[in-house]
Amino acid sequence: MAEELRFFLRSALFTILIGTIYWFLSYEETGSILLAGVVASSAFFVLVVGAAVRAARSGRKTPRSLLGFAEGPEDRPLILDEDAFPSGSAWPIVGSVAAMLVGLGLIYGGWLWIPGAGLALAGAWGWLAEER
Amino acid sequence: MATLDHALAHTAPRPTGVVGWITTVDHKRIGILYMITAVVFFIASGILALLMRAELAQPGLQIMDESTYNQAFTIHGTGMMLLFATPLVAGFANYFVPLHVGAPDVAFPRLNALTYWLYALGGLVVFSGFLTASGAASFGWTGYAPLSDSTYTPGAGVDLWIIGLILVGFSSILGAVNLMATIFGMRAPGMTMFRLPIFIWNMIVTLALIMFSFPVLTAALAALFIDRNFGGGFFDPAQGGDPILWQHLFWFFGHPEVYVVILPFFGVVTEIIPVFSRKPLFGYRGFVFATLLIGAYSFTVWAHHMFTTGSVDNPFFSAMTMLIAVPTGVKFFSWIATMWRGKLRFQTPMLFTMGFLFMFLIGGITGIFVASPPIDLAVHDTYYVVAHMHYVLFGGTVFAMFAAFYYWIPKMSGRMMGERLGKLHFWLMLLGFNVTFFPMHQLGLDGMQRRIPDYLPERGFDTLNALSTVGSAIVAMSILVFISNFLLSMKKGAPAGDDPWGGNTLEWATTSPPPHHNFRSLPPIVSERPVFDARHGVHGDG
Ligand code: HEM
Ligand SMILES: [Cu+2]
Repeated sequence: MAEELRFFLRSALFTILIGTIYWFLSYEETGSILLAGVVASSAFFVLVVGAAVRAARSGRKTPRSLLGFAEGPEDRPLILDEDAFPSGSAWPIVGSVAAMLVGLGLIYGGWLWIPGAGLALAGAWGWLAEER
Repeated sequence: MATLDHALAHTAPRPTGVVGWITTVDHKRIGILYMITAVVFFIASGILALLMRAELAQPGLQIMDESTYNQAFTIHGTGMMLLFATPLVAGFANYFVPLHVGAPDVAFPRLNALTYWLYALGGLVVFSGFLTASGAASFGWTGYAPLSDSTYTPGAGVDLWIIGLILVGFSSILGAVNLMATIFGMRAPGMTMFRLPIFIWNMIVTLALIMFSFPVLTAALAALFIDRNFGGGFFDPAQGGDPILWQHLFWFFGHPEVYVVILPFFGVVTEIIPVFSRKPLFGYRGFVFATLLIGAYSFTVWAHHMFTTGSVDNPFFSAMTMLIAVPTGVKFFSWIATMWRGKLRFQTPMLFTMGFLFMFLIGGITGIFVASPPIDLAVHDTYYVVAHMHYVLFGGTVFAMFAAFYYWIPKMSGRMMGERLGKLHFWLMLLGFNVTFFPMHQLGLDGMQRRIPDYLPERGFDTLNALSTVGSAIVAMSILVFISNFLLSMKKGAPAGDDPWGGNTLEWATTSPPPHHNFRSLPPIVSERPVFDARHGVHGDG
């Protein structure tokens, strides 16, 4: 088993153990539910990371392209695939201004949602339209 | 040996100037933006602290009224924890995680930029509370219900605090996922999990803590917002809610949070100590497992902040808290064993590391005391706790931050920091810090409560408080020494070269500062010290 998986598996098992002890010692609901949440999230990661590792091994996605290296024979030097990386983007800041406006709209009135939603749509569209 | 040939000719020219920085998706630039912004919030929250100390220097109200004082400690605590320490971690991680694992950038560069801007704007929203008519949030960084409800603290300042922190919460969660994907998915060939630098192992645990704890805070803040503005009753007993619920949620986040701001710095000093002792780290695997254990325990101790509510299982939380001392002890043992008979060099990064070890140790020991419910019942909400947490947070995080700055600024800028001013900075800060916070232990034992702007002259608190205020001025001076050292060194510091300290990890295998996408070539990775191996001609079978 990959060490990445073991990391989350250990965290799930440890929290199951402590959470069970905690429940029978205290019968306290909030904390027990939160601990169960940690178990569920760790287990979720075991599944997701597990699926990614299996996909990488089955050759559908080779580690090289995951790393941003160009494909090539194993003995060739690794060539960095510059095109795999974006060179700059204005959409992240647009998106975060949108998020802030939506939040401030909850305090100062829904009219702020109009520019907020506009920027959010523009940001999402621009982000997805960017090639790399 | 694998070589990375950059197809440099194909690289699109990068936008420069302000536009370049605003639109950057380069992990190194985003890391620098995070660090600078975090330091700005450190200074802003520090100025609030200096104002509080000025107010407390003598009995009576001199420079602010009670309500202003409440706002000052609330935004000081919030700012230091969530706008300084946590984003500072994000800054170091952004810059050094890809370098340490041998990757050209993080997994999702645009998402990375989004997390930075969410944080910067969220922080401004929190601080903008000072501009509202009723002032900023004023119930402590812990936001306890019912103090934080719309009856006791109406006003937009509180809502701004909530919304700002929700933005920061999203930023932290998204950033953690991004960095985790980088460590798991983008390691250079040969960089197996057990060859990762200890800094990266500490980051892995930190990122998991963020992913599992920040959603709890963000959800609790949303619930509080609903209670205040939309007639919810999550924390209101009159509507079937429960104020203790807030404490559970807050501390289920809050305790892992203190590890979020300390584990990465355990990582930093664990990189520095072997380099400045000229020895390999003692007990790599033991260190990794101690880190995992600390992370796991940190989710099982939250209610040690709630001993005095009388509604939690005190023996359980006390026992779990004391257990954390065991893996922490393992780490101290490793650090000391690494230095044992090493060729120690006490340059500035190592001095700050020593400051970290001793100050954090004091905070850890008082932590064991307050983990005992009978003692905590006596000192809860007194200055003893303020002393304890600053030994951990300032003695830990801030001292290690400066160790990291002196160690890594040469890599980030290409210039060495001045040693003389660095040493002056260290000794002034060590002195000022202890003069500020050591007397607070005694004040707490004498019964001085926290979160008060005034005290009666006959309580006998004045001498130690005056001393503490003098100490805080010395700390401020030491920060000014650092800033001048930084500015001078950036202008005429000695060139750093690729590897000024004789480092072990991959950031020292590239230029200072590293090129766009980090590496022109990578040494073979056959151990957790690839640069050391390359220097000493060690070749594995890779
Ligand atoms: C110049 C350095 C600093 C000084 C002089 C200082 C001073 C103080 C004082 C006097 C208080 C208690 C206020 C009261 O209870 O009435 C306080 C609270 C606090 N400080 Fe600091 N502090 C400093 C740095 C830091 C740092 C670096 C951190 C964290 C990384 C930090 C985190 C906190 C927190 C979380 C509280 C609790 C706030 C609350 O009660 O809600 N402080 N500080
Ligand atoms: Cu705690």
